[in-house]
Amino acid sequence: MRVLDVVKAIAQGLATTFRHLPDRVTTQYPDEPVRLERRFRGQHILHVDENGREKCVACFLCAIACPADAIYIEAAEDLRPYPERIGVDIRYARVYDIDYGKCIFCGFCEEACPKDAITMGPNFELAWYTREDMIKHKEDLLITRQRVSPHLEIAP
Amino acid sequence: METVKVIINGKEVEAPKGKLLLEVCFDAGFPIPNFCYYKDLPPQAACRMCLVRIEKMGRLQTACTMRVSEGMVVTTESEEIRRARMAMVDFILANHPLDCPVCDKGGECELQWMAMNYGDLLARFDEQKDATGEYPLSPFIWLDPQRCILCYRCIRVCDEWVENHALGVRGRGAHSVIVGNRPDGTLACEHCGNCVEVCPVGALTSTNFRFRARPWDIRDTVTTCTYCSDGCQLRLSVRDGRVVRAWAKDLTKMDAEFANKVLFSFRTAPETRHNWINEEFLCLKGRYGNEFVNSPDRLRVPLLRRNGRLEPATWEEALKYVAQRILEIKRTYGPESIACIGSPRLTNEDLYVLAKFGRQVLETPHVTHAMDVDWRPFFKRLTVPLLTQPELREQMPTILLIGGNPPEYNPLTAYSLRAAVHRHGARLYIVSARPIGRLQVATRFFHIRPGSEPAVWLALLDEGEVERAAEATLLTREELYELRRFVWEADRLALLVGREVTGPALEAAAVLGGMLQAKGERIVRVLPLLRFNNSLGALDMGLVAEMLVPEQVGPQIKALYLMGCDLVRFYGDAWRQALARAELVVAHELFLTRTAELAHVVLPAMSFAELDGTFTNNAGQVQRIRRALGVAGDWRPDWMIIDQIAAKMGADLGCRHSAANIFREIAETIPGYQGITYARLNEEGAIQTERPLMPLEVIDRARLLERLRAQVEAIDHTAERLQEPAPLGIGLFEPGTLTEHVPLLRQAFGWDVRESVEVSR
Repeated sequence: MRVLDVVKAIAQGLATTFRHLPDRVTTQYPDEPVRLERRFRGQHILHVDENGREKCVACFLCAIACPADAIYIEAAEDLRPYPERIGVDIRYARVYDIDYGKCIFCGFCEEACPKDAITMGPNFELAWYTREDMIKHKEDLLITRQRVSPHLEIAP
Repeated sequence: METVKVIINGKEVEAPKGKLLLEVCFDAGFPIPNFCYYKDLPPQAACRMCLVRIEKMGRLQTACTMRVSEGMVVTTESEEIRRARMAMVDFILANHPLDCPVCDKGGECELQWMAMNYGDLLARFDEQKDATGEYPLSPFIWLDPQRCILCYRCIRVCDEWVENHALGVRGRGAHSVIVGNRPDGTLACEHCGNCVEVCPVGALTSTNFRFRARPWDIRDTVTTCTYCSDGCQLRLSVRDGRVVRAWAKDLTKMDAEFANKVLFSFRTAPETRHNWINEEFLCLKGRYGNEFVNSPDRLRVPLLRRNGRLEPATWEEALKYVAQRILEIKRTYGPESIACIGSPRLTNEDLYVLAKFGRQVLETPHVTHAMDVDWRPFFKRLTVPLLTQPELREQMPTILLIGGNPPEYNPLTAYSLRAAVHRHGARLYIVSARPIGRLQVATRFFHIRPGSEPAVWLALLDEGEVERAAEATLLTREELYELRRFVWEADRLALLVGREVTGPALEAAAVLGGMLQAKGERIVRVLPLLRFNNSLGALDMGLVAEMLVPEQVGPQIKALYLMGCDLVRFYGDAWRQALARAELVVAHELFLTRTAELAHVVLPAMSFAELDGTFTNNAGQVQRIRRALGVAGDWRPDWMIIDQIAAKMGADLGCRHSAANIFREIAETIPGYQGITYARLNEEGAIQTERPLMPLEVIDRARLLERLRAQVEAIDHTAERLQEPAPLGIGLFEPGTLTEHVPLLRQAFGWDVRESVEVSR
């Protein structure tokens, strides 16, 4: 009897729905922190090494890997010895801009990076009032400058 | 030519006897990996990447030194060869740093390509690498010795192409390092950067390109150099609206897969031909002198003189003002009171439109351009065709250079002279008042009294004058007879005429070829060493009136229309007062030059990197320039400015809004340009224009000899020979209107360049 099969299927489906009804899914953001998985892809973080030197050597690989063409880099030279200079190498990114109006958070930049200098961070609050504000500079993205939003917690 | 049959990988191939096996394999479609081999350079066999198996030979052989002979059976791919190449890559990588992300070559590196294709997955050497830092060898060239794979390409290029002999190797074995010729290891040379271009890895890098871009995010445009009259082709690489480098590498000689898939995957269509007149050569200016187009000093808006000061104006205001003032002046003082002066740096299209504007709209006879040497009599009396660079390199066994200093002023010609000697043993005779550095390949050098070049021409023209010439030139009679024999007995002769040759001697240079050819079956070609990239084009386009003298401005000339022409710099300060006397001075300029400062209206023009157009080089070859950059300022092409002014004056110059349309008109009206179109130029590269040749009978040779004799009489017979060669860089390192806006050149040579004058805003 096909009618019975249909009724059975609906009943089964609704049973699952009703079973989860008491669960609290809604997070009271921003009063409560949002719980994110570790692999969550939010705003990028530019890393520094243990001595605070920027890891990025401005190789432009993230820029070419980016399918949205959101990354713009200008490289420069810093010939000072390691303790004084900005980056780990004499080549560093003088300008490192990511346009969050373009970025699609695919994470290709992270995979392209040969120096583990860029990773996708947890910050997800990426809304601004102007297009200019959507372009984030190196100074906004560096791990030493970027604050993790108080509105999130990372799943263990 | 004798050919031999060789069997490569089972395929029978016919090849000229004695050709390098590597080249034969490449042509047969079996490219062999290599680092140290380079077209036209002596074989080195340093990298051992090109190992192949030749039957009946004990070990694997290097294909780059092996010459093909009859019945050779060659295998280029096998397990044994694969393993040998893998070992070689491993060996080369033993001390090569893994810094591809910061290396400028990354992405177009031959070693990366070899390692990916022929290398092993893991290195077998685990010893500590011998790390050294990068350091500059010269203001233009940096060296990272750790990246160097010791292929010696740079050294051979420096010796053969430019004769600087500036690079060498210090140390032995694994500790070998490329060094410059100064005691501290830096470079004393002309900084042409050809060594950087041939470097297969990132050991040698250019200061201007360092860290500025990666090969995959630049766009290349093939265009023509804007400096000397040789007319080299080059690729301008543009990143982000800025020119970052110029290069001329022949990609068709590389592994096709590498050249097309890797080097061009992010760019334009693959290059299938490299029929450039300069092959792969570029000089200091061609390679490092193009960044004036990025200069912040470029004029970006029209400037109009109000209350004695140049102030920014709109195009509409400026054009209207110019049109109105020209009409007023023409009405008040007559058309002869206006002069149009062009610059031999502008495109044929610009100059043609200027000439047309001057003749048809202004109706003035004063349509001319800034000339350093008056070449008009030479081209008027030309009796033989002009000599192209490929002809000079490949087909001329006897070459005579009188005057000039090609390594400094015409570097491509110097390169071709060396190539002619190296490739087929051409005999090169040089007659000069000063020893010429970097042309030591010459067979004979005739050291004459300064200014006595006309006497040499006199002796060449007329045997009876040898005595008089010997007296004037300080050469012995035997030497002059030797020169005469050299010229009169040659089958194929190339005559190169330097800028020291003037007046009747220039006419003699034009006529001698015809006289030689009239005497018997032979081929004579002549190459005038003009100064600017479009000197010949300016003559062709009809800017041929007598150049004005400053005294004419004021009494006769009331208005000056200057197109890219810095009179004060070019002809001296006498023009300052002259310009002040003029009622109207209009200048099209890239920068606020000394002349433009005194103008009433300054109109911002486009540079060669932003324009479409053509140049005509000293061999009469028309070549394209192509737009490489977008528009970063409110500037317009020179021809368009004139067209718009003419429109405001109620005339139509028929430009129809494109350079291609103007060139179509040039092809219809200018003799020699018939049949040349942009499409053909894109297809064929350089097309030589046919020059009208003067039949020998028409020329009054007796009269010419008489004038030449008078010129010889006028030579200062007391002057001593100049023993010192011209210093290195006398032409190349001198600031010019364009080069002084190139930051790299300015820093490197410490030019004390006048700061640009603040424009009131």
